[in-house]
Amino acid sequence: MGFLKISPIEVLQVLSAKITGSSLPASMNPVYGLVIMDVRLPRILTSAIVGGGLAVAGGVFQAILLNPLADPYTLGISSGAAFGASMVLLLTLIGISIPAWISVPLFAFLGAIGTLFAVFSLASPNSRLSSNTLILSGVIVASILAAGIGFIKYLADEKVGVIIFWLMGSFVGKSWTDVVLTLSFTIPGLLVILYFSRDLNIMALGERTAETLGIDTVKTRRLLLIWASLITAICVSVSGIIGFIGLIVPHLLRHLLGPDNRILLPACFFGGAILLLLADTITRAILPSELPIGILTSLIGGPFFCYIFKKRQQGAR
Amino acid sequence: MKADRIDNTVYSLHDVWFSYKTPPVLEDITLLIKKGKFYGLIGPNGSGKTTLLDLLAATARPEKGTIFFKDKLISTYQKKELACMLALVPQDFTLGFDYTVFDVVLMGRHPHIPRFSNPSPEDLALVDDALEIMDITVLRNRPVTDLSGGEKQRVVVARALAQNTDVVILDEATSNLDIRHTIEIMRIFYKRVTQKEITVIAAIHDLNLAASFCDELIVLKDNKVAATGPVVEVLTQQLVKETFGVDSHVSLHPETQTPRIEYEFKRKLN
Repeated sequence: MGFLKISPIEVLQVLSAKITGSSLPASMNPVYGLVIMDVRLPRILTSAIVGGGLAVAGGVFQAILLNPLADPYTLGISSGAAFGASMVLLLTLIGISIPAWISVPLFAFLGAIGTLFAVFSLASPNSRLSSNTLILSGVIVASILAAGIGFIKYLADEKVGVIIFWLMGSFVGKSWTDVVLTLSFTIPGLLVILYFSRDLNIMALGERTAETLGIDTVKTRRLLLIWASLITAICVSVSGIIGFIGLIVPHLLRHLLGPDNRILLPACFFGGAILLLLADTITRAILPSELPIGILTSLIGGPFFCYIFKKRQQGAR
Repeated sequence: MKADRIDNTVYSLHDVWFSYKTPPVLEDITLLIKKGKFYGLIGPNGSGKTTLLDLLAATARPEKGTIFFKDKLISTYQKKELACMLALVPQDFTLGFDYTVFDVVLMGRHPHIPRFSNPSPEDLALVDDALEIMDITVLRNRPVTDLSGGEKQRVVVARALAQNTDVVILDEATSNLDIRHTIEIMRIFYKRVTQKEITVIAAIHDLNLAASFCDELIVLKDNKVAATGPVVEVLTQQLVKETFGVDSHVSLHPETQTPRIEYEFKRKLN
């Protein structure tokens, strides 16, 4: 599938040849090997890891905010990461250039963490964090950041294409560097999150009760929010803003598997990986011309969000 | 005498102050809370009852003063360690996700179950007992989000019972319940106080309820302790007038010898 037609059998031949270390069949176009190993496989793996990472981050945000509608957006984290990544462009414009592979993830993380702190300090005059004000602050900060990205877009006139990439998301041209980068943050993040998953369950009872059940809620909350933001930032720095994966996956899986985070969060990783890989395959291979992945997920995710929202309104007592 | 103090004192508060901002919510609170007694915490709205309970539950820290829990400063305990010894039943309860009744009651065992372990047979037995006592065994597999307010509150109480602590703090735990369930829950804790020598500290609005089940009263007014002591001594016409600004008639119940309060409702206009 894709621009270059390669049959499934040929794909398997290339993969097995690479794994066993033998050379490709002589009949095959040698470009196929290159395309599969250096273009398609990294792209497939990156989209799966990013999907998994965003879904886990969404699951953590939902569990912490006690709101099934929360995801990296409601906290403004994705916008913060995209804003940070866009800043790199601004820096190159004024003549400071840092290698992109380090500066982009770093600035995305700084943007995400900066946003997290901005949202925190806006939400809480003291160290307690109330869920509703947190979401509201997230929305406010996100809208300021969107304007900020727009401003950078204005300044960087000729490089609009790159900024559009941050805003719409894409897996075009992903390399093994991206695979290693995303994997080396999502896996440790997932482990930390799993370590605290039972505490996260208890926190559904509310802060005060969770405290009396032996959980340092402020500390646990902060640690998990930072890790979820870090995962989000790395994902955004690699693929731009991809919406609603962090919302849809935890929500659907919670229906299927129940709310227990010990089961739900690992399932989110795999569910998110499968869903985003599927979506990326659609944009890459099935649609006539390649569509930015963020547009596709928003087209599907937006109405889904409305549906859950409406259902929740009706179900609310 | 000294040994007696160490054995029987659950809480000892000395000159405790607390404020969210200025002015203080609690001023100069000095209190002794003893093992095996049912304490009622009464006082008008905004007198600092919930804040005092938060300090006792260690969910808030005093600005000034010391709080000893058993033989150590309460701030020196690990959160988990404390959670094995004291439980809190809040007044209201919201749950973001549709955990079942069983799941929520099992959460009461959280401090007792090591990380990554499954609940032991003892944990499960305590959960079953708590469900049985609160008469919600039939609701066991229902999502808590589907239950009525009264049913939810019984789940919360069951969760605290499953926690199986020797100190229980009730923050107006029954104020959303009908009279039958209110009495049932108070009786359950009264029974545990008398039979298992646990200590209960309960913020209660209904003075008759407090008078019927509590051994001792702590009266808060204007952020200070206005009175403490055995119910019969504390709960007088004069105290009700001074604390709540309400005229009443206090008599003793002929059988139980506990105070009964009849309020002067002043229905006659003029």
